[in-house]
Amino acid sequence: MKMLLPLVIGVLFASGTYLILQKNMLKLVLGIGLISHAANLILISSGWIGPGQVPILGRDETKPFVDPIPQALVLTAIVIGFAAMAFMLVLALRVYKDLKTANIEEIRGQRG
Amino acid sequence: MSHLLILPILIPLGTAILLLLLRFVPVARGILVAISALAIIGVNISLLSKIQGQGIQIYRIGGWAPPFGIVMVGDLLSGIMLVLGSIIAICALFYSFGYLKNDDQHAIFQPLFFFLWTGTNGAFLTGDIFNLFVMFEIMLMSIYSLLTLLGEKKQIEAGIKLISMGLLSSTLFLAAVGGVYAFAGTLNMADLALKIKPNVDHPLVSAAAMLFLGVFGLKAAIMPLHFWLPDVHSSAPTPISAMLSGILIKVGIYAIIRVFCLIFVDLQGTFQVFILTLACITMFVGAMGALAQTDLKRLLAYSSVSQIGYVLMGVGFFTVAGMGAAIFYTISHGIIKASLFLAAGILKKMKGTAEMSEHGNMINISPLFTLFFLISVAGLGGIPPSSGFFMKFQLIKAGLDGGFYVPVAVALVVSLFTLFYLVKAWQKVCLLDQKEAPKMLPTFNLLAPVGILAILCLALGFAAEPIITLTNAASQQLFSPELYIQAVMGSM
Repeated sequence: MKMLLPLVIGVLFASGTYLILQKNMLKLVLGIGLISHAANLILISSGWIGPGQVPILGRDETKPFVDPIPQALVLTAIVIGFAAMAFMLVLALRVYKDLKTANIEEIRGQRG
Repeated sequence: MSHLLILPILIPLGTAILLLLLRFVPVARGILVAISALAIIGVNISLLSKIQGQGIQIYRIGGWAPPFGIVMVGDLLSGIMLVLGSIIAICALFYSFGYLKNDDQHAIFQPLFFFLWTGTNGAFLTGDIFNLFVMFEIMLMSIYSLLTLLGEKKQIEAGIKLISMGLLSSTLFLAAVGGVYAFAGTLNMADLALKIKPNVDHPLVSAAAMLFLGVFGLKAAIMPLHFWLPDVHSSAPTPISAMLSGILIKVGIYAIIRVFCLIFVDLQGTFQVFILTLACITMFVGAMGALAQTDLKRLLAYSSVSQIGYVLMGVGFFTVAGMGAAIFYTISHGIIKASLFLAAGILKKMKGTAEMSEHGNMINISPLFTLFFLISVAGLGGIPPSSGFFMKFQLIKAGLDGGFYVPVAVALVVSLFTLFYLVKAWQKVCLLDQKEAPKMLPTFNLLAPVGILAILCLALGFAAEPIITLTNAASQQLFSPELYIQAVMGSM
């Protein structure tokens, strides 16, 4: 069970990297999305202390609590990531409309 | 605790929100922009003098004591960067009134610009690593939109490159923050420094340091990660190009300095050779790229890559003199490069392109432009009495004193190339004949910021001593991190 989270993070990072290396622009966007989820999971896992309980006062204070700060952080990160992802999708659509292609290799008007 | 420290973030943020509300009232917007821009620069200058007089300033947001709350910390380096940022931003803002075509564009440009300003000021002031991430995101989000604002094909294309780069780097930043937090259990930079100092051999520490170097290196466009910069800086609307090259890549350098002079102090020796190697390659590759360009804005963008290598070299010496020289270099290069980009924007405005072969004979069309452009070229080329001479002189002297002969040799050779490609560009644009007359002449709105920045470059050269004293004091402060830690943690 303890290995599950690192495994999920690893799989997300790997598949995100694979998608980023593809030629299709939409896959690039999706790959970046997957990687950002992996990073969020890393952040969550940094406050993970085994089977802790919900960090709310008034519970059994002899048992360990889960660190609440990473959860607050990850909320911020998710919101920011969501906004950036939305903007990127719109931009990708615009690139597709302007250049009539979704192939990254054909998007190279500027060289040198 | 003084509330002055939060104003450089609050004023632009409030202004940006008000500007959004005043979308349809151009006159009110103009007045608001002028007032708050002047207010920000006033606050920043008084903040710098206060830091000079009274030492490091602390502001605890919401009154929460560190390490639990977020603190804003103003030391000399932050103060210097804030003032530099506001000088460039004011010039870019003034320039935008002559550069953008219609009021619709102004209505979107101005609030976004102030959001960008919020982000840069916040990044310079924050003392919390996660808050730094948030400030970076504010900055990047505004840049994404400002870059694609005019909707030209080139800009959209550069936009998709910038946003993929930006999102990936924020992801890595998050991973690095997660790693540090898992290890130290704190996000406050001063507290992190305390927690990491006794455990510097832990593998997670050097992994996090490497990740931070990668993330900030991506933002500062250091060699293997510089690929996005030429497209983005050259195709952005010109006031934004000036901001990007003048201050935004410096935010990356600032963050590298902050992380390696505060949190990972004991890793300086481990990373030194690596950083110096990257710096040398960055200098060289940027200059080679610039040599091959025919478009002036693209040339300047490559030159930014090359110059960032110089700054990184100064940082990489990890000596008081080297760091002082790097900070002076940052100031001087920021001003000169902003001036050069704004000058290139005038050319672009005149003929719709910054291709150098399309331009010429500027010495007869606009002698003033030729003069300002020449001052800036001399500045970046390192010819006295401009500040460019002192920035290179300080850096090379620091390198020789520290015994770093190879980087110094590379820097000297590259500075020859720098002078060569800049003078070539100046000669092509200003002296050579060109039959086709331009559609318009440079207006006051466009020329004034270029002139102000060029004169500042000269003034920095003539008054180099007080500035160098200031940057050396800033560097001294950076190399006594206990001062910073004392100021943050001791105020509990």
